[in-house]
Amino acid sequence: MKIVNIFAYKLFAIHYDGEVDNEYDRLLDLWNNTEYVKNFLDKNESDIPSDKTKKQFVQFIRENAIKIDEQLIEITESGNVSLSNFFRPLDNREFQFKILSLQKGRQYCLRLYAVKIDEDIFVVTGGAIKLPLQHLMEHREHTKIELNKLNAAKHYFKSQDVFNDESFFEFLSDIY
Amino acid sequence: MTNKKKFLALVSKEETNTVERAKVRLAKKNYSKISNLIAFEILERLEELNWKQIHLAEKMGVSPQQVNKWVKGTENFTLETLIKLGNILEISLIEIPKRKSKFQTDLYTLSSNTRYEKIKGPAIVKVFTSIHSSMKYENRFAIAK
Repeated sequence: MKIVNIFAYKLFAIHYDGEVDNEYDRLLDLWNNTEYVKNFLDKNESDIPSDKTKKQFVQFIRENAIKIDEQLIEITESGNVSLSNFFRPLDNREFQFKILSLQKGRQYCLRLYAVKIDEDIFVVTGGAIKLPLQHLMEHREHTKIELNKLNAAKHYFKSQDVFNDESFFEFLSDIY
Repeated sequence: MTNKKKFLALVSKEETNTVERAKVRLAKKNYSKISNLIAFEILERLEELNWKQIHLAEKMGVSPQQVNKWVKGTENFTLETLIKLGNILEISLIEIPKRKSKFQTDLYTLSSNTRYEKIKGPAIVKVFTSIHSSMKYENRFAIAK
């Protein structure tokens, strides 16, 4: 496993062993691949609301993938917008500062999952298509895998002492 | 060492081309959205016909890799390819919307020899008086009711 810089030393991604690409490149390639998306929708048809069609989701997913590319390029190139505008805590009830917070970047039914390292530094651990009728990550195998990847990355950073008590107090003194 | 520095020490020195790849995707975004829908139609039709991609490749006289590129939905198709694909799959992949001409008129016959034409586009009502069946003249003095 490697951590690689993908956008301006603000956004990083994990490049897992055995994969050709880092997680961001891998996911964006998949989400821009109609055959992959259609196969995914065929397998997860029960998560598509009855008033929508597979074809509409094929369209939404392509448009959402384009928006993710656009937003991240804008955020990392403009310098005025923070990555925190794109990523949000995975747990909607998380309001306070949390060490190595697990985050999600959301664009309708697409998710990029990341660990927040510092105020404007995130590491993408993976991502998923989450259709409207799916609620919790634990409810589907493909998102359960992503949750495990998030937790594994968090444990890795902890084991590498990326965020210990000392750096926590440094962080607090930076913001107060 | 700060939290950030500790983290950066873990980052690989390897350069990525993620930004370039994102920019290439964005440069194609307008036709990629359409290509995506065409790919979906091809895939649906292959399923209906119970054909494999290799089957389509043979009929089209192209390599299976080419068909695989088409169904990924990022191909900048030529009209020639779309027409040929449509013929082989017996579906229409190109549709040109029918539109009424700006000057196409709806006719309202108001009397035996006078008719009012509502011109689509500019909100003008012109009044024509028919002299005989094949000729008509605009009556600029008439008032449209």
